[in-house]
Amino acid sequence: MSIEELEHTADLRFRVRAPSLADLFAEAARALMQTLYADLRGPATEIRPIDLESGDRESLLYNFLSEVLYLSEAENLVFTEAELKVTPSPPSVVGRLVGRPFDRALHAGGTEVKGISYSDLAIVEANGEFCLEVLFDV
Amino acid sequence: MSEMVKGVTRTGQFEWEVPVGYVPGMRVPGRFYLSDALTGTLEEGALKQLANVATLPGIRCCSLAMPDIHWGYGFPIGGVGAFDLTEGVVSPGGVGFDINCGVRLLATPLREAEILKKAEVIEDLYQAVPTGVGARSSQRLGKADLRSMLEDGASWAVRAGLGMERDLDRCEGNGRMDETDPSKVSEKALQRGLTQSGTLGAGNHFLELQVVDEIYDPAAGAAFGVEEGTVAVMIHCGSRGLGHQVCTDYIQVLEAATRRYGITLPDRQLACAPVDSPEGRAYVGAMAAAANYAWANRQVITHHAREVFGRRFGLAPEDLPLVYDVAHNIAKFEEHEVDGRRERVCVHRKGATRAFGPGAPGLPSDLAALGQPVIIPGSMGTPSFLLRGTEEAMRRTFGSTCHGAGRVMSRSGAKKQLAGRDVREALRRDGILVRAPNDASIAEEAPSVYKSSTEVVRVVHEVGLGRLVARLRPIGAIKG
Repeated sequence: MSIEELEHTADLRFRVRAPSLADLFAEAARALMQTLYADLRGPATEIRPIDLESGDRESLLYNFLSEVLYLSEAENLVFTEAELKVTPSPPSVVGRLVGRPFDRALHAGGTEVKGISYSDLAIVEANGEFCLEVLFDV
Repeated sequence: MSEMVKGVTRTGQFEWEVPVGYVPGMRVPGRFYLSDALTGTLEEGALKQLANVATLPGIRCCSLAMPDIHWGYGFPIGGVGAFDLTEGVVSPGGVGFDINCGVRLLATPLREAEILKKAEVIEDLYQAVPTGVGARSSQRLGKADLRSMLEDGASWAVRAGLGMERDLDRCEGNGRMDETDPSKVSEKALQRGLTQSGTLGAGNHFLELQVVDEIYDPAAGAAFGVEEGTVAVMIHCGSRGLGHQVCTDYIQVLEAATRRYGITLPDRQLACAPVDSPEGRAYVGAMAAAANYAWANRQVITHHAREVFGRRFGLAPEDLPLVYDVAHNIAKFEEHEVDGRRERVCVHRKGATRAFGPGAPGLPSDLAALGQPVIIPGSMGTPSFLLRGTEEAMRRTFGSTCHGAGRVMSRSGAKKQLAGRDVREALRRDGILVRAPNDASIAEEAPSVYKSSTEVVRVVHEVGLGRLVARLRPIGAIKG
């Protein structure tokens, strides 16, 4: 699994690779949390459920990351891990996010993410692995 | 121009055209404004986005971009698109996540030499204005307050004792969009809005101390209330998580609507619906509510800044009058001349500033003959500018101009090449003190990651999309 930052002038664009769709979504959530909070270390004390459906897997990813962003900001939580099951058809993701309350002393090293963009959002499957590209508006 | 902009035609000293056919499905050409010195900064991604906008139904005249054009998402940054109200669409991709991100400028009577303990003033501002990731409002807002913010915009804050009536006269649209419909704002967005009123945010948002160091147009400068040698305060922020959530929600809604209305898109971020459709009206109502939140938000921050200047320098709120407040991420209903006749259109400005010329509707009565004050921020180390709107902008760009310098280096590139501490020290040597939660955020926004604000504004001035009034030199900033 890997998270690679790609060039983009104004915003932050990532390429994520993983052996399964579930790992791919979890890694994308990690890229989002690392952008926001930089340091994700520390014990997890909070759990939030995830249960989403969508029309295709790209819009499922958009909805999933938007939900992670919402929960994190609205509830002041830093998610350190995502335990997920992703079903390709019909596209759905269920599972849970685990994390801890935001602590300014630990988590102020990142930058704000305003939203998840659909521009160039893509998930491809090749050579037994999944790859996605996604852009965060910062 | 470089190879990557092949296919683009020069149509004037600063004007370039992207012909129909640059991407499939273009209904009108694209048009942008750049000097030779800036053409090297133009990215292929930005041009493609400019061309993509030209494929949207009901677009009038052309897809436009200002001299700060760069690669964004949906519309390019610096993008302007006007749409017919019957055949045309409205798109969150033409507004962005940070609805009514904007800039306001406050004048002060202080001279730079009177800011004796600048570091302490900067620290006071940093403590007064919640800043950065995870920052929470110092206000305790109830749901009724929030609803009033969404309904009334800046006037909510003035009624709450956080400003003066005159402030409203100096906001674009009096700090309110009439199309607001708070019932179209989701519970999620409301929840985010409750805790973030009066917060600055992060990224490129800032509160900056500046000195008016050159007046180009004394008559306009005097009318706008800026005096050479005095200190000014510039505030750059938007609608915070509430606006971000409105955009997120309505991209989902309009994605489905796009399919229902049989609209083919080159980029899903351009999800849209006819302006005159239930989905289009719902987005406009929610977007306007978020825009009102942003005006209220900048008003609250203004109040905090005035309090700091009150405590430090014994100044009354009236001693820090608002010069003007402009939105640069917004869609508005305006009347413009298109193909020789007056038409009401929906003008999207994504990283572009309204620049209404003399006699345009809605300007403060004492400024009507001069045109609207236009505020163009630079970067932490480069000047910002005050301009006035023009008839030329009304004629060429639906009364629009640029919104800033425009980035040339990615954030990751900036962090690789620049150490935040070095940037901070270099700025300090130039007399600019910066307070931020971390050094990385300073590196990401270093002056060298932006185009030259002076060159961008020169193009604007030469083309006539704004006339220079004053230059403002930075002397300190708080950043998220």
